[in-house]
Amino acid sequence: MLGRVAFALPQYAARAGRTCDSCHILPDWDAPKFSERKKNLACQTCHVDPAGGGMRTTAGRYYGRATLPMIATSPRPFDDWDRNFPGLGRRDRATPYDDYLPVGPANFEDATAYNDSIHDKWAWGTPKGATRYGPFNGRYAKLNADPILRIGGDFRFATLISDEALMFPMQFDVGTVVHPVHHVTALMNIGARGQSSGYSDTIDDSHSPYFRELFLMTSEWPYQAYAKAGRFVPSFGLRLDDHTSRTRREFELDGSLPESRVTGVEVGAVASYPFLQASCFEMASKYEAPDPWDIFDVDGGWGAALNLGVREFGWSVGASGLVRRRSLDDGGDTDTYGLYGSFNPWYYADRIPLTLQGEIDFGTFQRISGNEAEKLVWYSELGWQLWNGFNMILAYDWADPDRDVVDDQSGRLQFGGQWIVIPGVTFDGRVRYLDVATDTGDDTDVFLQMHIWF
Amino acid sequence: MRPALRLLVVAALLSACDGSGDLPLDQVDPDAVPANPTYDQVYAVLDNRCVMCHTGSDDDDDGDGYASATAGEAEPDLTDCDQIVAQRFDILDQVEDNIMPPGAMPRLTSEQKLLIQRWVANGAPAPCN
Repeated sequence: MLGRVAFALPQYAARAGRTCDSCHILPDWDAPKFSERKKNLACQTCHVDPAGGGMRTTAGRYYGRATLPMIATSPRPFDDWDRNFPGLGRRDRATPYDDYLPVGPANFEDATAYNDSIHDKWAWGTPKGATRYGPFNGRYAKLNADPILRIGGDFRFATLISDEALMFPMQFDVGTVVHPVHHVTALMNIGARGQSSGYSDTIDDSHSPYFRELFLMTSEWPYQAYAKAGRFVPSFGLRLDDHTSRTRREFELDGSLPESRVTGVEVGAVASYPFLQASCFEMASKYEAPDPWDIFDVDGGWGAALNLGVREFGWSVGASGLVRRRSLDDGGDTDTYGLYGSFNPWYYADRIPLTLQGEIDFGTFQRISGNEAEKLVWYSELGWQLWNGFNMILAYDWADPDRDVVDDQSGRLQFGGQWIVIPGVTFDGRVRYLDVATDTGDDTDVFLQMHIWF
Repeated sequence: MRPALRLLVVAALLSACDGSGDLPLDQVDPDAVPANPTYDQVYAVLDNRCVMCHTGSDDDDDGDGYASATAGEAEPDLTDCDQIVAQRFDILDQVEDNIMPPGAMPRLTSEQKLLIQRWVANGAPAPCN
């Protein structure tokens, strides 16, 4: 499939199968042969990194313009025409509102006629060696379908209100994608790790900014196979954008930390609909942040990860495994196994705009003593798309970081919503309640976020 | 899914997610953290979990438009060795009682708490004292 992005995430990906014309030009699209199909609801459909997150593909950018926002700047899928905020009506000028979307060429041969209609501020050039089933101009309105150079950004400004209010820059990422010839892509994403004490501390941190991703990739092979080498976060479970989620943090997959990045090789294939991703890597010590600019500062041990499953239109199931092997001084061995999935009733019934997703992870780790211990974590989320651009979220995560230890488990309930006003601007507000096992420590906060992405 | 099977799945999930062990970490595994933690080991925890707010900045003293968590109050600068040592009992109380990190932020792990606890119990050895 071609199309869909956004700042959040697995949930929006799980919904992508609902509207055919977010991917297909209806009604006359000729389906490619099976091995060339992109109909997979995978991270790599919308993100350059097949593990998800960060720089978006043109399909992802288009999804972010056509489907996600309250006011679309690319033609909105047919099924969403009448899902606008009450009173707003059909106001966006990009959607024809008279038929399905005959936008763009029906095939590769017709695509060249659309080259002159491209006006894209953040993408330049056309790579050599275009193939029949690569992205081609015209399908994504005025966006450059397959640029040589793309620049993007991801900025988040947060306010945390508990006993007092903290306003702080949470994330500053600037990404560059170079795609000189077909099948070859380089991604560089430089990010600053947010500090709630302010902008200057964010930049002054000795481990920030740093290379969040830096890899060379060959992709767009049959069954959407790819191989990448460099710095990345291994594919594992649901890549939530909440770095405090325990399904990420407890297993050293916290996306905000340089320590979570590894250097290695990942290969994968994401067909319609099974997927398989495997990686092997070296990593820094658990107790020491690596050099922010040296992706080969990884003398803390090695690891491997496997991620596989099936993503259908209305549901998905997946399983992940991740092992780390290192000395006790560098963090000790860990084995982690996860099951995750999503269910999208909205795909089956238009009156039920709900999406569910969840993950449960079980892991063993070594304490500093060398003794093995176990941890258990799970995450669940229910999304309710009220109107175009308005998504309500109810989520709960729970973690027991050491199954042998009393009173160290806690659960966290979140309720809130995301409002994507226009493409690239999202407001996110949540009330969060933490329930700890001890007599003291239960607390509530309000977390507000403004997210700029392009 | 048949009701009985559904009930079984729910029961299995709930049983997996009920309370954990019966003992605190130092009784489960006395060697879970070093007997004599170093300042560097403690600082690594503070740096990872506390310093993002507790830098000791005043109201917008760096002119970036934002105040730190310590705005207008005499809260510890957890980048400063002297202040960490001076405030060690407060730090320990706050993390042991799960007061800090604040709000709904995940609290410190048992391992991190025990590390700080033993460091304090050993007289808080540090380069600055």
